[in-house]
Amino acid sequence: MITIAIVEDEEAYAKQLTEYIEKYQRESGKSIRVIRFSDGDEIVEKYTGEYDIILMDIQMKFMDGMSAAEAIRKRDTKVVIMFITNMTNYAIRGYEVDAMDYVLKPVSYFAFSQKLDRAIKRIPHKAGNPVIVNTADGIVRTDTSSIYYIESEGHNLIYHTTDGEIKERAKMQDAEEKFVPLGFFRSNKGYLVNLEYVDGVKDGCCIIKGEALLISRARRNDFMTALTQYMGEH
Amino acid sequence: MIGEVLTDDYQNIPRYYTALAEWICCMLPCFFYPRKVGKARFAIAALCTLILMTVWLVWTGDVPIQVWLLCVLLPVGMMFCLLYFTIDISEKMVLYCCMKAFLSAEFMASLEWQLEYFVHNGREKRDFPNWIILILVYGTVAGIYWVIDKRMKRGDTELEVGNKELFSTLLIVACAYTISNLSFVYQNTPFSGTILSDIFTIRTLSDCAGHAILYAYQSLRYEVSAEKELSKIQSMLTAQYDSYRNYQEVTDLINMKYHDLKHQIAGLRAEQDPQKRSLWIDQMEGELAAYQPERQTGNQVLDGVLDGKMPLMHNYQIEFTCVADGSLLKFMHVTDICTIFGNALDNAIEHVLLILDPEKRIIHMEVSARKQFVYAEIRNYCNQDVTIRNGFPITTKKDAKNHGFGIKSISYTVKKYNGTVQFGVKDHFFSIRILIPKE
Repeated sequence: MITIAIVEDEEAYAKQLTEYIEKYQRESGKSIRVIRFSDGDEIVEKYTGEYDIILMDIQMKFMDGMSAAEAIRKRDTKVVIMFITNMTNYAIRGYEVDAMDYVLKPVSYFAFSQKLDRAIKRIPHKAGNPVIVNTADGIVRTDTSSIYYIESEGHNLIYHTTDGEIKERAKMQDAEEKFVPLGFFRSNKGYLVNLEYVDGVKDGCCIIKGEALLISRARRNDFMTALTQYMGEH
Repeated sequence: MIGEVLTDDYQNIPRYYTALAEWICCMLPCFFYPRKVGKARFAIAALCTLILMTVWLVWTGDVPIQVWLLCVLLPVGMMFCLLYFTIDISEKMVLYCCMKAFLSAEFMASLEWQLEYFVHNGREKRDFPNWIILILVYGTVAGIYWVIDKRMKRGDTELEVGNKELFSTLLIVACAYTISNLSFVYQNTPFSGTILSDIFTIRTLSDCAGHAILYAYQSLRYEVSAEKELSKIQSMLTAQYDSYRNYQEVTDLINMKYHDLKHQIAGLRAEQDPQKRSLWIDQMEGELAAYQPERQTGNQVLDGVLDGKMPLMHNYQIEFTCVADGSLLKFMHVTDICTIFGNALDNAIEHVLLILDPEKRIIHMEVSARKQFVYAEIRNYCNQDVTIRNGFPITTKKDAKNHGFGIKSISYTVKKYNGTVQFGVKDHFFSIRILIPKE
């Protein structure tokens, strides 16, 4: 279930957007709940954080879209904000409030559906894929978005996670097969890094939570390409 | 090699030696170029080729001279099939690789056999040292080929192979092969040897010479295409820079007009007839609005580039949206910003213009900070298939030789900043994604 807030003071536009979302829902098979606000201050005052996507008109009577977005960002850095506007010069400053995109008025269904599609893909996942690790002391349940990187040490794999290290007797090659489709990359023989946590690249190493992990020379280009692609798709 | 014409007691190269040499030389491009099939399939295909080649060559070991050409050409055909179906390169390039592999194999086998001949002092003997020589010579020669090819390639420059190049290569290979094997067929020519050791030496040397010529030719072609590419990139850079200068001029003009009109409005305010006056003012303000600078990305150069593209976007009803924090691009040189964004936008515009339905002409641009990187993406709707080869999209334009340089120069420029470009097609959107570490 996806929750979309429409913040639009003009009744006609709000109605059109709702219709478009309904049409999109039918076409994509996704279930969407729409909540309507008729001004910026309305959503800011009652902000609950239950929304996945906010469609926000820029020009509104009491509180304009930019100010409302600024206020929302202070409380919620994750929600996907998309502006609706007829002024391109304003919307271009959307980066200041980390807006994903904007829709130009008059809104065409095609452009809207494409942008909505992308916005839905951008909704941050609350948890990653579940992972079960068989340690010597029993089973540990975690998920991909809690794993920073996986290190191989002898016949063991060490999972560096948000809750510390977990040791498992397993092969790196098997882990690679399992985790690469989930957004990991084998940066060299001994490391399988979660691209989500790559903060930077410096001197041939990738930086994960302050640790510098060497990227093997032969994989450097592939690593950067994978990281670029990951950024584009997440 | 040509069948047993010699009466001498020493045998010619065993056919399976030749088969193995040809196979090894054919493996080289397989590891040099990207593959289009999985490891397992490739291994099976390679193994089958080796077996087929060996069987064929051993089986046709005793055929009369009249049909030897067929015997020699069929393995080349097998090499062609293997390369064509497993390696992601053009047909012409495959042909080129085959011809090269053929000559390489000739040299390899010939050199090895000559050394065996030398070790055994001209007496036919099959024993253990033969295998050592075989492994050593084949290994070393293949290693040298690999190093030479690796060194000759510069960066992303791909070897251009056209009909002309193929013809020249064919000529070189054919000449070398003919001279090297002449003595086996006719012993009464100025270039033939009569003593077996001479014949072997002539064969090795002429194959070696043929190979040297081929490599010199290949190196030259690499150089020429690198130069061509560089000059095109340079001219592109200049063009982008020029257009940036144009944008600046236009912007200046607009600013001037803006001020002019302001003065005029001031003058108009002095107009006596209030009705006339307000009408004029309204009219002038309307005009002004058209000139108002629209883009505000926080980077003048990027603003300039965008302003320059806007008329085109308006004309063709392209829906362009842009969420770009231009201030992140401060560390980049003016020409580089122009090159990257100018080219990427041109590319996107060219693409969407081909779309008949104006509703679908969508371009979106993003420049944002992601962790310790600057991330930029230019995406456009795209309803045709785009193939990505070697990490680059294949141009859909007919005049392929002169196109694709915009894309190349983006990659060239981004690399200057230790960045990466990735091209992708997904859900009907083509996207150019750029990731540059923050300074």
